[in-house]
Amino acid sequence: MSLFQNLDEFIRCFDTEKKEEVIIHDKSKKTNGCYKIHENKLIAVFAKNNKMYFQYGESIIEINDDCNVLHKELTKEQREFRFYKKGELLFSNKYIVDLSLYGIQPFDYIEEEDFDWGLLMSNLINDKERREVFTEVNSANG
Amino acid sequence: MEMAGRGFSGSYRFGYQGSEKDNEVSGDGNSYTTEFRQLDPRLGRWFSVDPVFQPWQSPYTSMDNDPINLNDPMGDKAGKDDKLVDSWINEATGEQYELYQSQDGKYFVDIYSPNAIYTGTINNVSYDGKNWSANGNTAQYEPEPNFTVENRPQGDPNHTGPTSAGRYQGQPSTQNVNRCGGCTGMSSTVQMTWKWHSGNEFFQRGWYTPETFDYVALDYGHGQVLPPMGSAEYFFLMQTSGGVGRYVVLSDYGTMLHVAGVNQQGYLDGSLFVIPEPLIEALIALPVEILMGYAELKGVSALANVRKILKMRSIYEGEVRNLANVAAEMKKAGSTSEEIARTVHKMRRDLGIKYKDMTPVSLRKQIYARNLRDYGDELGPTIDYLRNTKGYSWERIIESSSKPGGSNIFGNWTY
Repeated sequence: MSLFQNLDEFIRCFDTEKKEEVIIHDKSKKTNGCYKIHENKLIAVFAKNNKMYFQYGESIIEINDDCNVLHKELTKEQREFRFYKKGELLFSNKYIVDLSLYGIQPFDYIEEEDFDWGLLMSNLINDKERREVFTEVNSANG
Repeated sequence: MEMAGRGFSGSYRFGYQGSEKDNEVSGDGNSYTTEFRQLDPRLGRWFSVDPVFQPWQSPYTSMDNDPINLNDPMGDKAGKDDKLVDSWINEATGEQYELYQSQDGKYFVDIYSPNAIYTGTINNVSYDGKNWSANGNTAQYEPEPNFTVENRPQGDPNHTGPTSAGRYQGQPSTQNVNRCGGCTGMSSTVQMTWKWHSGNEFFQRGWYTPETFDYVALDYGHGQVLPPMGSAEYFFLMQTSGGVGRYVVLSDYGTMLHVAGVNQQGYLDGSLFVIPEPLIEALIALPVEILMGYAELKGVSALANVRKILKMRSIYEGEVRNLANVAAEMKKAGSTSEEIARTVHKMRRDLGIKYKDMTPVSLRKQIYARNLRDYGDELGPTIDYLRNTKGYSWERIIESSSKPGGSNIFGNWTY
């Protein structure tokens, strides 16, 4: 069984065998990716057998050096996420972010990507070091 | 003396060079009042001596004996008219703007609206017909000028007229204009002044420096220009629409400061403008939680509280940065990256606990709920979350743990 971590709610996961969301309260649960449900579609990054993948709906694309994401801030609230492989646009999406709970006190230990799934996935895919850590840690879990 | 057919009839009281007529003294158009003294235009002489002594001529001489080329609307110094460089109309407000260059090369803007005339003076400005450039920074101000006028501030210490007649409102582009005078950059070069005209009353205002804006918003106790306003003023530090740096200080006296940073004196700094009273009432009626939790600051204690938060933030930043030293010591002692990362990450979380009292209970509950929902831990992302979900290496965890970054409440500090 593979589990993806929901990016909006810690106890919520996506079970890839059942192909449905499940609630797991166990903090020691093992996941091998993270996801966001957007417009009723699954958008996820995950790792398996020491490879990292990007998933949109039923489409799964292996992530390597040929891949990159363009993340644009269109307006204060609207963002655009574009996934390219070998220069070809394979997936793009516009979405709304809610930053109302970001930066609400001066002693927080959080970052903007914690409130923007597209920015987090973009950083994961574009940063080789993070990609390698993500692949290593999540492959071990899956 | 007025020329036949060139005077105004009825109650209009102004005439030659814009001065106010004293018709009750010597008949229509035969006497004028200015800021400093009265003029008899029939003689071309003032009734009293020049407040600015000029040894080469009589102290009663007007217009330096050259009334064709010079004027003296204040009654203290004759000079040439200012040159009209450009004019435009703000279609949204119906206000008319006139950009002038005075004889000393300075630019200023006259703004005419149905009930008010304001004059802003901007130093160190060049103008090429489209752009204004101030102290190296160029801004495209048209069709919107660098400031507009909707009403006048109630906080104006020189104010003697009806307070409801007008308000000053700064635009986002005036951020540089309204910085405090002690700060670096163009802020220290810009001053503003205005004249106010309402109905038949005309008031000449004194200089209103950027420093004053600070005092109006926050620091009336410190200001040398404004007298203390008592303890009736309430301050609200609030977040406008989420995200870092979008903070304002709202005063129920009618001013709002867009916080841009902290000036060299340690006071909040930013663009000040005045908001309509109904908006103030609506904002004050909001629940405290929405007003940042730090809200409901009153009088002098307001400033003290804001300063306290600033000071604590400063200490907090120092403690967070010190974690880099802890990491360096551990590395020197032979600890692995994982050991160091786990240690400084825990220390960083402990700092959050240490400073939790600085966050009001209601807001703290909100933050804990957010963290619990997002990370399964009320103190924020766990080390497993950073590794699994965010793909952080041990080195990156060490680095991020020792950087305050994140939610700097006052945005980008520029000083």
